[in-house]
This record gives sequence, C-alpha cells and structure tokens, in this order.
Amino acid sequence: MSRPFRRSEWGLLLAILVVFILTALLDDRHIYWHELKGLFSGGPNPWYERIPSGVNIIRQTAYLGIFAIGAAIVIIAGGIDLSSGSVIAFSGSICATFMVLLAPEAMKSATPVGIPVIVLAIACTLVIAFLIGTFHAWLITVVGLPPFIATLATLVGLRSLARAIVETVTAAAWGGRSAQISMFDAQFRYLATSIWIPVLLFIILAAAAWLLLSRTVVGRHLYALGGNEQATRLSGIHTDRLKWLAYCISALLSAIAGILYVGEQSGAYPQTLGQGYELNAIAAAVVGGCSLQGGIGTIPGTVLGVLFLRTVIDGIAKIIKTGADVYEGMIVGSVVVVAVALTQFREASKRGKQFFAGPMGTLTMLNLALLGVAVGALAGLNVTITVENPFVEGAPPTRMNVATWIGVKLLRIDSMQTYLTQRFKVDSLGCYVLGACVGAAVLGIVFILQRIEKRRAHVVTKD
Amino acid sequence: MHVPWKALIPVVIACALAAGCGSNEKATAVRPVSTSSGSADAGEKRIIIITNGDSPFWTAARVGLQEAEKELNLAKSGLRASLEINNSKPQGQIDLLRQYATQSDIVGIGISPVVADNVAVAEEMRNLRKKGVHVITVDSDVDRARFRDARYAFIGTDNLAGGRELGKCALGLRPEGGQYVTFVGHTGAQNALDRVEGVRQGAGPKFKALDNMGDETDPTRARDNVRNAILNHPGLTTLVGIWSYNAPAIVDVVKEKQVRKNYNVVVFDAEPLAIQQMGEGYIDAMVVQNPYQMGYQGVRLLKALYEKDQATVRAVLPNEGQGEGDIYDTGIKVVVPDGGSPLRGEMFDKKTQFLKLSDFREWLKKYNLTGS
Amino acid sequence: MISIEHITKRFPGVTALCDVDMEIAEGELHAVVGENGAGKSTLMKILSGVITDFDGRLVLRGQPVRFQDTRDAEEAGISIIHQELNLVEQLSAAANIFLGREKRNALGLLDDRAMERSARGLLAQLECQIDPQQVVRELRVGDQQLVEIAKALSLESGILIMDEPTSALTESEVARLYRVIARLRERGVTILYISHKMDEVFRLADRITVLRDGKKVKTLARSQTNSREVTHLMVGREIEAVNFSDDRRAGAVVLEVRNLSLAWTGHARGWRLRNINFQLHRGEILGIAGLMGAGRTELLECLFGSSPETPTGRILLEGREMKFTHAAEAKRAGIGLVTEDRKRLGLFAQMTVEENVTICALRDAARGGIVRRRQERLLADSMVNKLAVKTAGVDAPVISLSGGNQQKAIIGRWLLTKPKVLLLDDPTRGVDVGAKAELYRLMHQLCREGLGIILTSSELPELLTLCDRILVLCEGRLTAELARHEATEQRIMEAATMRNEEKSSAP
Repeated sequence: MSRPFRRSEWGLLLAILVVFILTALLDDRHIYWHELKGLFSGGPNPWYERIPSGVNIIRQTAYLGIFAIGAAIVIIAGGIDLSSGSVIAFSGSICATFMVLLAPEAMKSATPVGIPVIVLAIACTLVIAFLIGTFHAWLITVVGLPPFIATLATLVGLRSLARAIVETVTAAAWGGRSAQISMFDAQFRYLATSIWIPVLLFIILAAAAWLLLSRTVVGRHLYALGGNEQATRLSGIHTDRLKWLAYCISALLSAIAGILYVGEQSGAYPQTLGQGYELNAIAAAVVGGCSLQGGIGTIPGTVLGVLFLRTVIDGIAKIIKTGADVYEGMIVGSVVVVAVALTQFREASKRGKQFFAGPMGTLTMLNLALLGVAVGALAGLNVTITVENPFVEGAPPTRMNVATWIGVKLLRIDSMQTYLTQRFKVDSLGCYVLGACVGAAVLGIVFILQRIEKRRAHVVTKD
Repeated sequence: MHVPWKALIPVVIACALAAGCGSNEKATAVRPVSTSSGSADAGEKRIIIITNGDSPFWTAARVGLQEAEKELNLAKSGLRASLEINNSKPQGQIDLLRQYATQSDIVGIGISPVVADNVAVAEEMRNLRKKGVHVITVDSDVDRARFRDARYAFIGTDNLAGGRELGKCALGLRPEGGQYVTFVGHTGAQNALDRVEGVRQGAGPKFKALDNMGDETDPTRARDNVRNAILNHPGLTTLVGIWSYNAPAIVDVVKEKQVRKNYNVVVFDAEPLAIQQMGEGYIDAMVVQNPYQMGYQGVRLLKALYEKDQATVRAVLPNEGQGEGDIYDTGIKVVVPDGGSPLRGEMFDKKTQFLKLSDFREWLKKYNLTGS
Repeated sequence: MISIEHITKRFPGVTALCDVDMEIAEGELHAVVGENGAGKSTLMKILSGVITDFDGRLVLRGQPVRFQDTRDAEEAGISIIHQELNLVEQLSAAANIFLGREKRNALGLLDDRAMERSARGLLAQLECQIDPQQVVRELRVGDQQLVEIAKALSLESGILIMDEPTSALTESEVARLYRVIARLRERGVTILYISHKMDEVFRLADRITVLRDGKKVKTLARSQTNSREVTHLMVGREIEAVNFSDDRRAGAVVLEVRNLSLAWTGHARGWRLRNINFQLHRGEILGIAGLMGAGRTELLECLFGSSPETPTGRILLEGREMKFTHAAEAKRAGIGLVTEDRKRLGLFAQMTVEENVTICALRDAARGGIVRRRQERLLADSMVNKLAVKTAGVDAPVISLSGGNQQKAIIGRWLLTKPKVLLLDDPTRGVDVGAKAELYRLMHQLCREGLGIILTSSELPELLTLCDRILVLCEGRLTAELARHEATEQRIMEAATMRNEEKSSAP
C-alpha cells in the first residue's frame, strides 16, 4: 500500500501497451505508426503538432485525471462521490457566472475580461467548491446519510441549481435569458487549450495527492478510515475531520476540472457538462486498483487507470471510424469489468472455485456466447479490418473473408425507417442454417464442458 | 485452471462467424456486398457529415448523402461519405473534430454546430482547414459575425426566411393576432436563433412572443415544456415548433390534453410522425426544410472542393466572393393540410414552395423519403 | 463411528493439517484441544462440509464419504455450532432454526405457525425461555447459542460439533449448556467439543485428542490424564504457574471516578451505569467482573470517551478533571483502550503489522506531517521486540498473526502512546493458553513499570490471578469491591447477581 509500484500496476502498464499496440495494428490507417514516425523524423512543425493523437490522449488524461484523483481519495477513505460530474457542471457554470457578473459587457461582446476578473472568478469558484465538499461531509457525518445518498442528492440538485443560476444571471446582466454562457476570453481559454497547463496541473496535483496518501500521517489515517472506520475512531483519530478533508478534496478537484472544461469547450453548458463523468472517474480509480470497500488503492494506480481508459477510448475511435461512440460505452464497460474481474479471478481460482457450475453456470456460458455473437456480428458488419503491410509501399492489403468459402452473401438495403441502423437482408439460406448449426454446436460444447467440470469435482454423494 | 479456455470457445466461434459475414463499409444502396478482392481501401478518402444530435431529420440528410455517393460516383474517385451522429453536446463535436484531425484520410467535413458561437468548435474547424481539410457547415451555421472564416460555405436553410414563413403561417391562421410560445432544442443554436427571430418578424406586431423554451433535445423535456406552457399561459393561442421533433411533442401533449380546438399548431420540419399527424388534422402548417439537399449538396460541394472541380463549386455557389455568396439555400416549403386551410400560396415568399399535404407526399415518394 | 484417515489440507503458504488420523466413537463426547493455529477449526470445517478440497478420507459409519457442501454434511447427520454464530440477526429465532428448510403449508406458502410450534418445543428441551418469534438480534448471546443448537436438533443430527461454545456465556448459561449436553448425550448424540478450557474439557469429555501444529499429538481417555499433561501436550512445553503476588506496589492515585452514571434511554432499567465510584492507582491491576450486560464495556467506553452518550459524573486523571467527547482526547490525555472484538473494532485487516502498531502514535514518527520511514520502523520494531510478537516480519499482513499475537500488537499500539492508564476489554478472548500466559506476564511487567491497568474479563480465575482489586458490577451498579486476599469466585458471583441490595462494604 505504501510501496511504490505493485504488481497489479505493472499489469496495468502492460495492458496500456497492449491496447496501444492493438490499436496500432488494427487501425488500417496506422495512425499511431505514422505519428511516431513523424515524431522522430522531424519536420517544420513543433513536436506536439506531429502527434495529434498522443496530444489528445494526454490532454484528456489530464482532464479526467484531475478529478479521478479526488474520486480515488474518497474511495480509499471508504466513501464514494457520485457528484463529480455535477460539481464539474456547477463550478464551471459558477465560474462563468462570476465572470459575467464582474464583466458583463466584455463577456457578451467577446472582448477580453482581464486577468484580475479571471483570477477572482476562479478563486470564488474554488471557495464554493470547498463549501460543497463541506456540505457533503456535513450530510454524511452529522446528518448520517450514507455517502451514496448524500452525493446522489447533489448529483441531481447541483446541475439544476447551476442552470437556474445561469439563466437568472444572464437575464439580469444581459437582458436575455440564456441556458448557457459562451466563453470567448482567450486568456481564460488558454488555461485549458494550452496543453501544458492542464498536464502540469495534473502532474502537480497527482504528486501532491500521492505524497499525502503514502507519506503523511493524514494519509495513513485515511487508509485506516477506509479499512475499518470503527477501529480508526477507537484509535483516537478524528474520523469526521478526515471525511471532511476527503470530500473537500474531491469537490475542489472536480471544480478545477470544471473550470478547465469550460475553457476547453469555450462555454458553460450546465445541463450537459460533465454528464456521466463521475462514473468515468470511479471506473478509472477501480481499474487502477482502488477497492470500493475502502482502504485499498493508490494514486499511481489511478493515474494509470485514467491513462488506460483514455487509450482504450482513443483506440475505439481509431478502429471504428464512424459512429465510435455507439460502441464506446459497451467496450469501456466490458473493459472495466474484465480489469476488475481479473484480480478476483486470480484469487478465486487459487481456491479452486468453479465458475460455470450448475444451472446458472450453463446460462452464463450461453450468455457469453450470445454476447460474443452479438458483438462479433455488430463488429463484423460495421467494422472493416484490413491487414496492411506497413513496411512495403503499395503492398495490397489482405482481407479475411470466410464468407466466400461458405458461400454466404449479404445484401445491404438502406432503409428510411430507422436512422441509426441499416438493415441487412441475408440472401442465402445457408446463413440461417449455419447460424442454427453454430448455435447448436455452442450449446453442445457448453453442455459437454459442464459435465467434464462436474466430473472433475468428484461429486460422489453418499448412499 | 478451470476457467479461461472454456469461456473463450464461444467467443471464438462467435467472432469467426461474425468475421466471416463481415462486409465492408462502402455505403451503397442496393448492391450485393460480397467478396471484394482488394478494393480501393488502400488510398480511400472520407467525407463526413457531423450532425448536431440524433433525430429523424438527419435520416433524410443521410439519404441525400447516399444518393450523392451513388450518382456522383464517389467510389470512382476513391471517396466514401458517411454521417456521424453527435451526442447533442458541444464537447462531443470538439472531440470528434479533434479525432478527425488526427486521421489523414479525411478530406471533407460538414458540420451542424450545436452552439453557434462556441469558440472551441470554430478553432477546431480552423485547425482542420489549416491542415487542408475542407470544412463546411450544414443545417446550422456558425456565428457569421465571428467565425465566418472557419468554414468554406454554409449549405442549409435560410433560417431567418424560414422563421418568417412560419410566422406568416401563424398570422394567416389567426389574422386578429394572438400569443405564441416557441419550442426548440438548443436555444443557442444559430438556426434556432434565426428561426425564432424570423417568426417574430413574420407574425408581425399583432402577435406576442410569450416564451422560448429549450429542451436540449430531450423528447421528454420537450413534452414537459409544452405542458408547462399550456398551464402557465391562459392567453396562449399558437404553439410554434422550431426543431423537427418539437412537432410530435406538441401534438402528443395537445392530444393528451384534448385541447386541439384551442390552439393553432405550426411547426418546422416534417418528421414522418408529424406528416401522419397533419394527415390526422393535428397540425395546421409545416415549414419544411430540405435536409435531403443538405446531405446531397454537402457531399457534392466537398467532393468538388477536394477534386478542385471549379465548375461544380461555382454551380453550387454561383455568387462566391460576394456578400452572401458562401451560402447555398436549400429552400423551404410550406405544407398545409389538403382541405380547410385558410393559407394560400400568395401569402408567402416567391421562393417558397407551397404544397398541400398529398402533393408533399408525392414529392417525398419521388425521392424515396419518409420525411424531411 | 467417524473415522478420519490421513487427512491433509494445504493452503497457499501453510499446511493446516498434516496426516491427521482420528476416530470418534458413537455416542461419546470427544474433546479436541490445541492452541490457535493447531488445526482444530480446519478439521471441523472439513467434517462439516465447509472445506471440500483436501487429501485423505472420511469414513462415516463404515462408508467413505465426500461432501460437496455443507448441505451434504447436514444430510449425513453432521451439524456444527460455530464459535461465531451463524444466525441472521434480523430474522426471528424460529425463522433461523428452519432457515433453508422452511415448513410449507398445503398451498406452498410459509407455515409460520407450524414452525413456531416446532421451535417452541425444541427450545423448551434446551431450557430456553425465549419467544420463538423474537428477533435474534435482541437475544442474549447465550440464547442465541441455544437457537443454533435448536437448529442442529431440528436437523436430528447424530453428530454435533461445538466450537468453543462457552466463550461468550455467563456462568448460569454455561451450567444450562452442560445440562443440555447431558440430555443430548442421553439421546445418543455424538459430540465433538472444541475448547481451550481445561476444566470444561475434564468435566465433559470421554476422550481428548490433542492437536499441535496441524498434527495429531495424542488421543487420551479423560480418566487417564490430567489438565497439566494435556496442556503440556498442547504447547509442547511446561506452562509455569505464574505467581503474581505483591511483586508490585500500588502507587499514587492516577484515575478517580466519582458518581459516574450513564443513562439508557428507552430501557426499563433507565441506566446502563449508576453512581460508579472508584480509584485506580499506578502499578495496579484493577479487574471488573460482572455478568453480560452489567456494564463493563460501557464503563470502559465512558473512561475512554468513546461512549455514544455522554456520561454524567466526574472523571479525574491525575487529579485533573477530564471531559472526553472523543477518543482522541482520551488518547492525548494518556488513556488507551484495547477493545473487545479485535477483528471488528481493533485491527486494520488490510494493513501490515507495522502499520497496525504505529497507527496511534504516527505523529511521533513524523516530521511536519510527513512520516519518516526509519522512525516508524524503529517504533514498530521496538514494540514487536518488547512484547515478543511472533511474526514473519513487521511487513507481514496483520491477519497472518495468531490471535494472541494480534492482541499483543494492539497492546503495543497503545503502549506507543505512552499511556498513564490502559483499559483492556476482555483481552484474552480467543487467545490460546500459551499466549494467555504471555499476556499475563506482560500486564504484570507493565504494572511494574508504573502503568495503571483496568481489566474486564468473564473468566473469574483469570481475574483472581491477575488483579490486585476486583470491582463487581451488577446491572450497572457497583456492588462489590474486593481486594486480592478477600476475593473468591463465590463472592464475586454473589456480587454479580445481587439484586437491589446495598453495595457490600469493602475495606
């Protein structure tokens, strides 16, 4: 726990590399490859313009990472913070609102507002974030709400409060109600659009968090709190103050992220900003080794978790050219499940646990088979996988096409009935028959495997 | 270990099956897509149209896009066109544009920006143009005062004019004047701003605008907005839908509350559902855009720019270089029910096509569309 | 009737059982004794179907059997009463008894009435007066245990395994349990009895098997041995009778309690503690005896500031009045509490031995809030050495320690805070004989160094051995204060069960 790099973190690093290589190979444009070549071969552009994908990944890692650290700290302390996304929306909107209040004409006419205004707005936003964290801590320690409920309340409430504030202030300051505030100020935006500021901020915050958790007395107390709250209290430690600290850190980091996002998107959109982001942060923390029970997890692990998630998402976008976000949710979801399950797998299989026993086991295998078919079919129908030879110019690509061998053909009819899917008509009976055979074969294999597993477990009941 | 290899078997089978049935992504209409031996993927370039959000409006645009692909024979030029559905957030468009900036095979992008004055989106567009990618806007433009240079041209409806026609509809249906509420998705989108302003102009001084309600493309919120409007404004006479899905939202609530007699319903766009509802008598007038042309001309223009085909470019933008020469107006229609409508073609602008519902349906069938 | 043949069970890193052979005759009460870690629980888990993956053979009534799960074992007639009771606290006694085998009526729905009737009958056989519909959480531990035994009875098990059954019982409940066991034996039930307590073992058992370090040492007939020999076999060495006589002198008064009262809202009695007055001297071990519910733990909590309600009265530490609202204040003032139930309230299971030991005194190893590793290691090492904590290293996970060593580690944790008063709540619970002796020696040593100790325990012999004075609580009142020379088990029991009488005068 206080040791630098655990085994699972090396595993995560390896996983990132694997995803990177997979993307590089499967992407028929070989963008990563070209970018790496461009990076080393030089050229007139500055180096960061030669690796736009790399820059994208790093930038998104920095944004997500900043508030994922907050999520990790709260999880390690035994709590959970579901409100990160809403705090992002709220703080971003509040910052923009302050700027509107302090410099209404400048904000409206897109002239620079001046650094003092920016600094003041940011400072006020951070103070408000501190108050939000305090509010969470109060709900949890004094009122006694479970953290899930307390932060769920702010998840729902802050966003609508943000909207109300934005609409009221824009109506008052500009005379016309607006549900969002556009951010034109170049200096403010520079905070986010210059790559190095968010990255530097992320590195500093991560280092500070790492120092706090692994080297300070308070950090040790946070781990203890997450591991066993009662024992911590009975060891003479102020658990309420620790929780206050944890939730304030989380709120402050989310606020910083919110300010950056507003700069990046050049607008405060309280309704949609950061929607769902808290789950990304929690997923990153969990993939990076934090346990939702509390008391376990590290900052380096979380940082790697963020990097991993962003690499996967970028990989998906590269491999699935158009409509990538359709698959993004599925793939990120399964990746998170697999990442966490792998650690459980290793433990459980050591104890000789069977995973596909009994009726639930059979159905699970069926489940996985169907999922596999569905995903495979979707991928097969929508994704082109071409294997090119990047080392030889003009070498023709090879394509895998089992269809010809089986004599299966597909027609594609574009239909106006639905706008998201395109219907396919199978023009060969063979495919139906094939599908049925495969289905039967899968079931048969499942059945046989289950019997083998059962026999191996020596079920010999008495009598 | 008991586990891993067993779990892999069904997945492997599934993947084999799926990979076998894999087709390629050439968007063709009705053409057997079986084995293609080493097609032209190797140097294939892409043209992408990015929507603002997800709605049936873009289905018509997609048809236009695919027709253009076929008729203009994009394949021969090594081009592919596709539609990218955005998640209605500006962040989504920023991410997409950034992602496309990393991909060297993209040569043309058409985008309908969610928010007109978003600096980040404009910057990404400029960035792409600097790299040599051709960028145009469709359906909704960027803030022309600030970001005109971020795109080569705008293909879409003159939304101000469209709004005016809609306002004239309202006036025509109720010459003594009245009060109206406009319902829209993103109040900050340029097309939304233009249309609302147009409605105000077209309806004239006798009409009072009570509210402009945004729903951020959430159909449930759209309906809630209509309910609240009816509840809060007893003097309300006219319900005005600005975006395509606002029409069915308005009609659903009107049906639910059974207050059809109390209100005039005038809407923008003709979703399939809205067309049906006009046939049932629930909608008094529709101002219809031509998303089909947006898709079609968008692909045509981008292809022409890519191939440096000056002739075609000038055909699309004859007044290029002058004033509003970077705008291609895809035209508007006004559609009214077959019988009993007090609206006449003369009430509207010369350029606007005035159609009865059945004629409109004929037009749709000709182009193989179910809505527009 | 049960034959255990060449059973070996290996866990990653440790061999829990190594080639154990045992035979249990039908109808006998066979005691299994051994230190913590000797393998008793593992053996019982194998017998009851909790562990199914082992080498060796189980033969039941002449037939080799292999259990797939606990259900198989239950069907074979083996039930186990765990030391940590396996009841669902939110359900009623009757529901727990029939859990998993609920009675149904003709429509297939739950037949609560039949279950209640059955339960009442079973509980009556066990001299248990509770209402079968009462929620288990509200029952006393002794009654909860009887519910578990009732469950085993309802299964009509021929073989009952009882794991440390009396560890949480009061004397009268223990007596009741003995009677129940006698009745079970009359019915021919075979009982496997695991216990640390020699007096119980020698009172009940027909034969005794001693396990040590996963191997069977010897099986003896009770009549042919004595407790000394058995203890010797268990630990492999002689346990010297420890002499805790006046090697130490009581010094000045370090803690004084005046009129301490703790309200009990919503309860008939109204008070958890009422008008407690006593003094603690330096270098003295003060024992607190009493039945369950008498208020021993509550008293310690009040002294430590961790009581959920604030007590009234005065607590003076070294003459200065203290009002603690949080354990942190007590810690700073110099009072430490080693809680009962170390697993739930004391240990940080995910942390190492070092981290567990230094958690309370971490600031001493830190400069400017940042922990200095070397200082921390020094602190941890010092305690581990001083208390002779047997561990594979201070970096070992704390859960790898045996119960006794875990307890030592927690005591070490509090010693690092340099306390003036150390409160120990049932510290030798779940600790084997050898480790217990070490803890006694440790406490004695600490007192010699000037610490004042307050100790609660349910084991009267322990209190009599260790304490200089013994306070007896009965239903929240202090009913007796006995000095070492005048304390006997008899007098303590009388004071603990006194009803509404005046406090017996003490010199």
